[in-house]
Amino acid sequence: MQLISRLLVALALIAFPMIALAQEASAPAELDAHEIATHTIEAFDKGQYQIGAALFVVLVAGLIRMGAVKLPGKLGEAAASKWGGRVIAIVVAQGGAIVTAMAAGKKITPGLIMAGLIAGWLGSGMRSQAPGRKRKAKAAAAPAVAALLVAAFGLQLTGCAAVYDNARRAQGVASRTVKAAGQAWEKYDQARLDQIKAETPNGAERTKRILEYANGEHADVVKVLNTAAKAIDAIDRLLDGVEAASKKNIAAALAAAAGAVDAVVDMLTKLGIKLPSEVL
Amino acid sequence: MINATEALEAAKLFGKIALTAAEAILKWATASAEERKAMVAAAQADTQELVDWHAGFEERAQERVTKALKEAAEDAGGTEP
Repeated sequence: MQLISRLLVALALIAFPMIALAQEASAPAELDAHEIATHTIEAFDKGQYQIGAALFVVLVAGLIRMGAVKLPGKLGEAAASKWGGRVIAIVVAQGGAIVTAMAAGKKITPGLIMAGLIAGWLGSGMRSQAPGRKRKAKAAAAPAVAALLVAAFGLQLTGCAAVYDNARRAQGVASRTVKAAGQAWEKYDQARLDQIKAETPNGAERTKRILEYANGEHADVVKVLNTAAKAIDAIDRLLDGVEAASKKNIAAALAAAAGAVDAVVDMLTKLGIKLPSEVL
Repeated sequence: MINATEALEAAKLFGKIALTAAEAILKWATASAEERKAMVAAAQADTQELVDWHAGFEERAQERVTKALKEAAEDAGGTEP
């Protein structure tokens, strides 16, 4: 079995550059993001986790290459170059595939890694068919949401002190985000009320419009912001009594806060409120 | 059952998470014990600021609406609703 695995790896090591060269020589890989996403779901639905993970690599690599997932700093600049971009997309996406397989409780096999590499290469040539590519990624791009989910994932994997500190840091990022978003909304809220006043000189008519606004959109945002602030506070209380709280509870609280922060950013983005740079 | 669009969004989020995790791990691994302590303290301070801001959040929201309603009632020449 070990021999077969080694042979497969050797074969893949030879095949991979050949496929890559052949691909570069011919037309660049033009894969459709929607199509790949559909196949990925089908594979996971059928329990074909390795195929699903490899296809997922195609997606992530393609999205990085297309700029739908932005790499920070110099990595971002390198990603814009032809070869550098491909290498970075593959490395990042390969990491994603491994984590996906681990999360699905699957063994990391040489086959999976090689499939991931080849798929990553194909994905890095994916064409821009992702819906909404040009619109600004809203909640999915919020660093606070990502930080909270990373912290939750870390807690599920290990229980070392650094993971608890990371949870605390994620909570700090989320706190800054919610406060900044809340302050932006408070300004917007006052501006909306001023606008109603300017547009409706008639007092009785204005009262009706203010009540409609207060019981509708205004109340919805208050509720979403309250939920997020309370969710973050809940993490604080769990971390303060870390010995009493289980890892599972803290991870659940972090995931709940991620959802709540996501809802805040989503709602404010829909309302067209310009959020501070630290939020997006 | 999720659709392709949701899967694409998930992939974007996953990419972002992978990057954030790598960044966090690197930052943590290269920090000294004192720096780590400072990071945690800063995070706690941020959370306290949120708690302080949120303490009067609902009251401030209600006050803005009440003030607007009062002005409208005055303009209507009647009593406050």
